[in-house]
Amino acid sequence: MNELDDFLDTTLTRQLEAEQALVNGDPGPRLAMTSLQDPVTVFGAKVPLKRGWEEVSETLGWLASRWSNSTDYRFDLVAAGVSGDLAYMIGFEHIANSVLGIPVEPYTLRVTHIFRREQGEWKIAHRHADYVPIDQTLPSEASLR
Amino acid sequence: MGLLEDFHHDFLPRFIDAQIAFHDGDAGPNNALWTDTDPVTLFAARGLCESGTDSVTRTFDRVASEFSAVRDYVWELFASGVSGDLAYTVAIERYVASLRGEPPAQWELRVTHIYRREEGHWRAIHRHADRKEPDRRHSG
Repeated sequence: MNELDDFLDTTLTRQLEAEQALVNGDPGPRLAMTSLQDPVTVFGAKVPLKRGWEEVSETLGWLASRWSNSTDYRFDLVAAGVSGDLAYMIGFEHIANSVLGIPVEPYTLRVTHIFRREQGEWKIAHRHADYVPIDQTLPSEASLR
Repeated sequence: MGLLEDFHHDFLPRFIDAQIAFHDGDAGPNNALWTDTDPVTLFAARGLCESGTDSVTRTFDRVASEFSAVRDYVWELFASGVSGDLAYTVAIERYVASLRGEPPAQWELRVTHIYRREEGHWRAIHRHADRKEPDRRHSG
């Protein structure tokens, strides 16, 4: 099994389970996968920029406290790679859950994750997520880069 | 094999300069610093998602042709890392530019890039960009 396959089978699986728990209201597994070393950053779908363990962990806790009752979490992998102590994963998250107890319309996020291996364990060093229209139809002015 | 290109000192300044040229209408310098080898992906600022060298290059050519008169182009770099043949940057891009000949406007984008070193030279393989203001749907 090569390095990328190993990464996808183990770390990516664990990370997806952590995201699934997060959107269901449990931040624990996702916090456990978050790097404690600087730099750790988030460009979130709901928060502009978070930097450092304190900000990132506080944000994850806050988000999880508002989320519950996830009825769907799926991930479409577009690309991934590993080299040295860095790895990345790019794809689409499909999520259905409740916010403050109220079910929301299912939504899809474009996601880029950077992982960093620290003492032999892969941790999330960066997450960039933003919304994509569910129906994927784009206005003509969506040619902006 | 010749000297390995230094990511921060050799490559990144050239890559940023190439973005300036891009917003002046010239995609050439940017395209030269992107990989020719799949996988390559683009999550563009207004929702466009592309993969594969042909479609990514075509998108760059088309979008660059719509920009002109760039000024005050800067990256505020928040994070970066290099290991083996991978690197990444996390930045906010700010610039003033004209889109499709309209009066110049201020742009602010959150941007994540991933890069791969190929035969000693760094090349971009992924760009994820969005407007700085996050969508406030579902924020409760």
